[in-house]
Amino acid sequence: MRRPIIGTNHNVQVDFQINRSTKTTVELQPLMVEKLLRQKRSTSYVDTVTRLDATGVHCRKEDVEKMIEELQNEFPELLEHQLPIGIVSKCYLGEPYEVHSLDTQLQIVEHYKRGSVLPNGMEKARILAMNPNYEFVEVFTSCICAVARNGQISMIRE
Amino acid sequence: MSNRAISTANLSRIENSLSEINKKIDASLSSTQAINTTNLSNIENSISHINHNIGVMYNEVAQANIRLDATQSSIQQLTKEFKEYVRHDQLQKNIQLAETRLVKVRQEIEKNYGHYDDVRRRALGILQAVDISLVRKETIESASEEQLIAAPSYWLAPCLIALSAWINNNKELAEKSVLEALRRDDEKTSLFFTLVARRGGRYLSSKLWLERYLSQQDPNELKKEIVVLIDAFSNGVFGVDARTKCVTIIQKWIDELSQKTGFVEEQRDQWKIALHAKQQGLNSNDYLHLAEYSPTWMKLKNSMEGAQLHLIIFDYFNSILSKEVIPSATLVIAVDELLEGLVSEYDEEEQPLKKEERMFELIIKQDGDKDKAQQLFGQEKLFNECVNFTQLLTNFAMYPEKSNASIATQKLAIALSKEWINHAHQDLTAENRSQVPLDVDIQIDKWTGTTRDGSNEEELVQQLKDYLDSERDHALSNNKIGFGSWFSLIAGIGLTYFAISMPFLFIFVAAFILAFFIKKSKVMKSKAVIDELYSNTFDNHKTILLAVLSDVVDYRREYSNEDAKSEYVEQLLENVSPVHYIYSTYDINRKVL
Repeated sequence: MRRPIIGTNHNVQVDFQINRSTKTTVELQPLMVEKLLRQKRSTSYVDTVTRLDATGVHCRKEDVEKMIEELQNEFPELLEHQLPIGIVSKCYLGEPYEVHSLDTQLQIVEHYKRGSVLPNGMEKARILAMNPNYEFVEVFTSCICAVARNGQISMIRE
Repeated sequence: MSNRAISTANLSRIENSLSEINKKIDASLSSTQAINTTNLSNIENSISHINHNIGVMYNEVAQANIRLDATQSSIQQLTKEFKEYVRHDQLQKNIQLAETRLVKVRQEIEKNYGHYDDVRRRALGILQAVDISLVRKETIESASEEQLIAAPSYWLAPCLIALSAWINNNKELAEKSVLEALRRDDEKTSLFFTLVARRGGRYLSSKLWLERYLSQQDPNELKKEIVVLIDAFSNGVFGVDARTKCVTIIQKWIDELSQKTGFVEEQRDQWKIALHAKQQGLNSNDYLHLAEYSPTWMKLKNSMEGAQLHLIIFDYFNSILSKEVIPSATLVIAVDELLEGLVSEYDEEEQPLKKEERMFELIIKQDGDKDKAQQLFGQEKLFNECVNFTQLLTNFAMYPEKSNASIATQKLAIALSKEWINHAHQDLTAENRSQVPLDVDIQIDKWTGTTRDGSNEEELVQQLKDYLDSERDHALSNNKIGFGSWFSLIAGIGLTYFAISMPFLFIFVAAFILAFFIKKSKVMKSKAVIDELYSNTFDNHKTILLAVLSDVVDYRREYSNEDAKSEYVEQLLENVSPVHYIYSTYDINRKVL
């Protein structure tokens, strides 16, 4: 009798759980994107981003990844290149630090001292980020969105 | 013997010659001594005279420089005045031209559309005459028919015949006239009979006519008459049923419009422009030092004006929303006003001339500044033949005089647009906040410094002192005895050696040494002047710096206060609802027919 060489393992594990992806594959038009960005941000998202500063000068990688995941969940309709370039908010580490940023592409959190320039076009968000009326500022390629504590959005288009 | 004789004779001759030479040398020596003493004093005098002349020349050059500066500033002033004169002249010409053309346009309006005014006046007259029953039906009928002939294409003329036929119970003529009127202008005719029927207390007819009118409207391109409708609706003159209908239709319009991509964004932009137009200039007496000594001033000024806008907007909306709606004394007057609005306002065909008229009016109002007039004209957007519903709402809320909006209508418009107003205001606020300079640059003469909130006073004063000390040291280092003077001294000393063998060289020795000491004396005097100058400059600059820092502190405080008022607008609009602003005490009708 020939020794079977295929299908010897009868205990095949079948995973019936389907990983449903809610991520869109259709690119929205700019006006639709703007409409979407106008929507009030969720409380969990605002809370997560606000905690960005609480971890000290150096942020743990897991925290950054969690934050980016939260960001992607907040905008499920947007494609990767339509997501914010970064998020800038006021830094509470004290002098000489002024703001910190989450670079979504590099997946790093950086703290910036007075006089040092934020990279990737995020410098334009510095003044609003330092304003106590806003929790943080999302920087997109075509606009910046200042997010208030209650999730309300103020938008400045390029 | 003979040789001896020669030798004796020659010797005596040689002796004589030598004694003569000796005498001459003595004479020569004595004359040289005389030159030495007299000429040296002359040379000294000459040198001091030359020195004096150089001083005079220096003063003259300095004065010439001053005169040159004065001349240059005079030329600049003259150029400025000339430019102002040219601009003033151009503005005057613009005003004159606008005034002349305004007269012509008004004449043309009168000539081409003056008879429309007759029809409008008669329409009102007939309505009032019917009310008071003082005019015979035949007269009304005759007057109406005359108008039909006088204004062959005007929609109001057959409406008048229909009205008179209605009064005379001539159903056939009434129907024919109504059909003709509908043919000429369906919308206006529908609205006209909506208002007339309402005036007669015939709510059912009024409602039917109103539905007919509304069914013809495209919210993207509403006709100008909608102004009247909304005014009437918000004043509650069409009764409860019609009002419910209106609310439904308006909400439908807004929903329909909001579905369009970019519509909401457009509304927000419209409101942003309208809100921004309320911005006022900063008082020119505020922050004088900051204005003079900060290169950042223009940004600071714009930011402050933007922050002060919050209170202006709040006051504007608050004054409208809190104003009590005082309805016209009676329903008849209110309906008359609506009807008057419908029948007395100009038609589409009159609009080009009316546009011109308005443009010339604005040029005159803006003292000949065409650009400003054009800008205002663009902002008003009141002469668009077709406007969308929300543009109308903006006009109602922001330009009530020009859009003929009553207080009730303004309130309704604000209530319906509150979300867009809030968003527009939030965006404006964010834009303003993002423009506020974090650091304020200060420039006093050539010294520059930076402050954020005026708290680094000591640091800046020290920087200023260091800068001026460095400038002073630099000036002092330039104020030294130069190479030429040192050379002069060395040359003088060196020549002394040669002067012993050649005494006339003492003249030059004296000149060189004197020049050195004159220069040295000048350097010493200049040092004292420089020290005093920089000391005074520091005191003066420090005073200015402190004044600028004081301005910065005041500015930051005031900006913070003004910026905080942005919440007022949001709080005010938060509780505003369209239902609250529909005036509902107008439901009594007066049966006049």
